[in-house]
Amino acid sequence: MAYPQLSYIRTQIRSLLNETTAAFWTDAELNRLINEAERDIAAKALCLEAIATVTASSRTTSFTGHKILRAEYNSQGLIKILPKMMGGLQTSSVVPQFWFQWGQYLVLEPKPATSYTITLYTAIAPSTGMGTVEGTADTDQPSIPARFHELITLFVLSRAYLKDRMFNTAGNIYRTYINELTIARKQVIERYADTRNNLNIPDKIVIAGGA
Amino acid sequence: MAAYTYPLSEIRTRVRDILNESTATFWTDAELTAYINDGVRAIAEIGRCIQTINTTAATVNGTRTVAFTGYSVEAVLYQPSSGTEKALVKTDELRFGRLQSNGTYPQFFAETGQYVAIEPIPDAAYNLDIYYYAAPTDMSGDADVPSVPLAYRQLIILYALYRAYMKERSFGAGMQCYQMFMNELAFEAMDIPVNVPNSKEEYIFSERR
Repeated sequence: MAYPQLSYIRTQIRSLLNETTAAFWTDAELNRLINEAERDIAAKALCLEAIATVTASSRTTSFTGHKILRAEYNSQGLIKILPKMMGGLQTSSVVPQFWFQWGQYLVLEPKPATSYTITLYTAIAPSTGMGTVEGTADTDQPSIPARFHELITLFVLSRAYLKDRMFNTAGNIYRTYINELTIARKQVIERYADTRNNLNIPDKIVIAGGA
Repeated sequence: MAAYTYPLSEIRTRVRDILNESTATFWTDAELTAYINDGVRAIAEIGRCIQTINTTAATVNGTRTVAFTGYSVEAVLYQPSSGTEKALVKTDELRFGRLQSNGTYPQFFAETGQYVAIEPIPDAAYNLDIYYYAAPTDMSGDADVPSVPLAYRQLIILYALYRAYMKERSFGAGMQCYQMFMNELAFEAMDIPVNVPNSKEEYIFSERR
């Protein structure tokens, strides 16, 4: 039993629930909640990233995952637009230059004249380990990034206390979960490209409260 | 490997886990199924997350309106038999007949109830793609899966709990679950269905952000 295996997470949760042997909360219930937590974190933080290629031969091409974060064609990043901009943008050729996501579709502009291979940078749902049709083996591990593993405990505790009808406790733990998730997401997922200004040695650094 | 899809029977099991009623007594399976379907509808209505394309819509000569079935329309794309497809500009009914048109093909649209109204009034059958937010389909079979995207499916449990606690007259508990549900929905809706276009500054090596 080693971190972050399913049995370890369950033991950790049981310790906090003060029920080391299954009685009020069964192992099957806690396993379901642990799996649920992993999926919830992946959906909210968009933290489980994947790179996939799709062949686009029409304006719309289906993809798998929660969200397309970036799209690339022929080694160049494509520009994201709004649906209402279709047909109204200046395009330099007929190859894909713009895109947007609509439901489970990648929509390209201009409309592809032939087949193009598009690389998609996506946020996906867990589909291995504990995310498969419910991971139940004690050695299963979450597939979300490690920074998010601790959040699983908070999610499960919140739901477990709902079952125990400790509704205020469940609400407080849920708020803690959301706060932690927001911080983790900011640290891990929100990324910004450097600007020229970032690469210059600053003239002066003013520390808050300093002269 | 496919991701977990939340079949109806397994959503019910998860709801029953938390209600601490593994076998139907106070809450019947039919009741829970109704709460679950209500939850899916609430998510689709508030979250506008079932984004669908109708690629077979067409105008009728002399008729301004084209029907659609769903919550609202995001965009309408005119599909000429040859030449460039073009999105119609959204307008309102007051501006009909007052906008400068370039030809007789569809150039503007207004959303009115379950119709898109086209300007100028079509003088032929023109093919349109309608990008819209659709309503979900109710689930009844145990293996049925919710119509909302995967990211939203775990929220259904909280909504069903809210309804179940209302039946039990545990109103505080119901409201707690409802608030959690709404908070979750806001979190999901913040990112997943929203299209934010890139600005020019985002794809150059800019001076500063």
